[in-house]
Amino acid sequence: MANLQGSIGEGALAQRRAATARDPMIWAFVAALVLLFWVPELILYMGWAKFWIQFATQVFIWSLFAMSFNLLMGYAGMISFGQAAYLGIGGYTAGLLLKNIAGLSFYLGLAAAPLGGALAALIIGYFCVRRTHIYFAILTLAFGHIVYLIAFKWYGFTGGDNGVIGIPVPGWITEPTFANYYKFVLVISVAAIYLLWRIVNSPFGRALTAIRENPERADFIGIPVDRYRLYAFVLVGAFSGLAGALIMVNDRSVYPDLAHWTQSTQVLLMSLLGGVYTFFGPIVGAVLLRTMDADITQNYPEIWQLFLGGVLVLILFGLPGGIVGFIQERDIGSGDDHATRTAKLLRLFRRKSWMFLGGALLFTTFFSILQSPGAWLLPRTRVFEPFALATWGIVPCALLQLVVGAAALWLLLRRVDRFNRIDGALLLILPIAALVLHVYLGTPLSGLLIVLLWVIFTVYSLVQADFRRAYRLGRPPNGGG
Amino acid sequence: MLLRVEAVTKSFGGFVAVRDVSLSVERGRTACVIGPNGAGKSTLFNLITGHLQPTRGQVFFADRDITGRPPHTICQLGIGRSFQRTNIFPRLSVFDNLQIAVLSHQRRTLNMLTPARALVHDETMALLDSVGLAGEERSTSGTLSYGLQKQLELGIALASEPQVLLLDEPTAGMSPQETADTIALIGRIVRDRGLTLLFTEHDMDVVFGIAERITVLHQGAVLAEGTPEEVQSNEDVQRIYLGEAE
Repeated sequence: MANLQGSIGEGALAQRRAATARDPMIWAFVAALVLLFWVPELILYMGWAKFWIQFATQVFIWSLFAMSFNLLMGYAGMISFGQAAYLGIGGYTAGLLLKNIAGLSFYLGLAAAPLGGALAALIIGYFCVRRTHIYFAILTLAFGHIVYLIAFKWYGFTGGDNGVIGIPVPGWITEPTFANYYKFVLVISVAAIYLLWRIVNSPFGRALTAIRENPERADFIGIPVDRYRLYAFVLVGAFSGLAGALIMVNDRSVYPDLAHWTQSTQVLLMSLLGGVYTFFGPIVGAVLLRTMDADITQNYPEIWQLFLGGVLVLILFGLPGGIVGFIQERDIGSGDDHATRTAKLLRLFRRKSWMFLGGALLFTTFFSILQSPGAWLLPRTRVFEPFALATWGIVPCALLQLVVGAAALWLLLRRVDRFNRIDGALLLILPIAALVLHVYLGTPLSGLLIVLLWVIFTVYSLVQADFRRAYRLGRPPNGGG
Repeated sequence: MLLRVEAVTKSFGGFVAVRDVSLSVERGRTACVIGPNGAGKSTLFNLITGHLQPTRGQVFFADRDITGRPPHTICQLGIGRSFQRTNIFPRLSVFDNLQIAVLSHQRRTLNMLTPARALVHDETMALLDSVGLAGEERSTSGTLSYGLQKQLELGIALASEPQVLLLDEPTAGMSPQETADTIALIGRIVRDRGLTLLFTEHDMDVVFGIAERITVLHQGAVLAEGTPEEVQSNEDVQRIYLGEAE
């Protein structure tokens, strides 16, 4: 039996090796591109607000910015507090070139943005990479602020706090539904993120990880550590510059705010929330932060900071690996056999599901409190209607969610070890209840977010190799071995 | 002489850690540096591998002056080393630990676009086998037992196909059984690859078992140098070192 498994393993390995040069992930990126490409048409067709098109565009740009930032923080272990500088420099490079050179091709101006970001990162990084840890962080912060001040004060060149306005942009991008701008940003971001994906999985990416893990050892396997740190810094500067130019295109203007340090903290938070040691974590972080921003800042601007602080504390204590890190976390020893691994995965899946329910409840209850503050037991203003959840009062509403959610989850989790496909499908669609609830509460985005995270979580968990095998067999693995 | 250290001195402020030490190792030989704690063994290693700059003196490798070169250059020239405190990439898998070392040796780490997953797979697996880690390739290296981590570190050092291997206390903190296994492993690798070995060690059985030349350091200076027999019969050595140890 062991021999059989061994030979199967080697066969798969040989196939994998044959596919060295190919990267199957490209199909995932292409699929994402194709699917997302038609979202504006869907939104317009359904008659939803155009705001959502702009919202999605923002998410793409911030995802690109956050993921490039995470190449530094998560992969190379360099925490930069001054990434906004390169966002700003990218925006200003493209903006100033397009504004001041009449007849310059728009695409050339755009292509100059990553070059500008890279050049600035080369000069600043040359000094910063000589220090590590907190000294590196403070240096990047200091240089970042210098960049901001130059943009803010040098009226003759950057326009100072008036910014650069009236930047010429092709008409087709700025058509009023934002659909074209959305597609423009989508294509560039997906391509750039795919490039980042290739970079972090290349030998260079591995070298950066080695440097993060142990710079001394990395040095003594022949990697020139400081130089590689600088390369990473320059690369990330280029991607940040590109993100800055994408923001500029929408506004047709650039302001010093783009380079302000608060923007740097945004990407830091996105990476932390989503998961630092994961590639896709920052996307989740960007979606999450933008969603909460849209749901909360619009309606309750005064508590946005409080909310952000609260979420951050919860994440750092509860899920130190971020959300994607939490989803991916598992504890499997190399010596475990198939049955042990499956048992461990099951235990972990159940525990995580309950934690997920707890998190979702906390999230929704928080929104109920926002919705009608003080209405703990009964709504204050509105009349109680049994079929309109928003009129239920906070505590009964939370209790109802707890009871219904826990009962449904308990029933399904109890049966998960039978590996019945229908149960699996039911698990997958469970969060639709949460979505309905959020639509009632007037925060559909948060509901969507819960659905999205849950689907990612269940799919990721249930397609683990051991689970997949169990599902194919349609029974627990104990008998099969 | 493949490796030659000529009159190196290293002082930290007023403290002289290594004083006027000369040492040379012939190609294919096994040499050992011994001495009590604080004698300057690790400092000497760090001077050879570029982690520290000598205050005075020179280091030659294959008749080439390598004094003051950065560690990554010295590694690329053909000197591999392990560290006294185990020095691996703890959160990476065993395979990844060795793979990155092989990639670096082949100067492929500037490749930013090819997926690394399956590159140098066979070389890495062969290396993995040769240091006795077969079957552990997917384990997170930081969770391995101490002995296995030391074996992994040896593998990382070997990835650069060095001519000289510097091992700083390869059996420190090991049980007698682990010590015996490790020494057997090192002996086999050195023989198979025709390596020149320079190591430090506190276990005298190990030292006199495999070393062909021994240099005794005491308070940063060379106290004695010679074959195991010569060193063993040296009165100074017996007085200050072997005597104390008994």
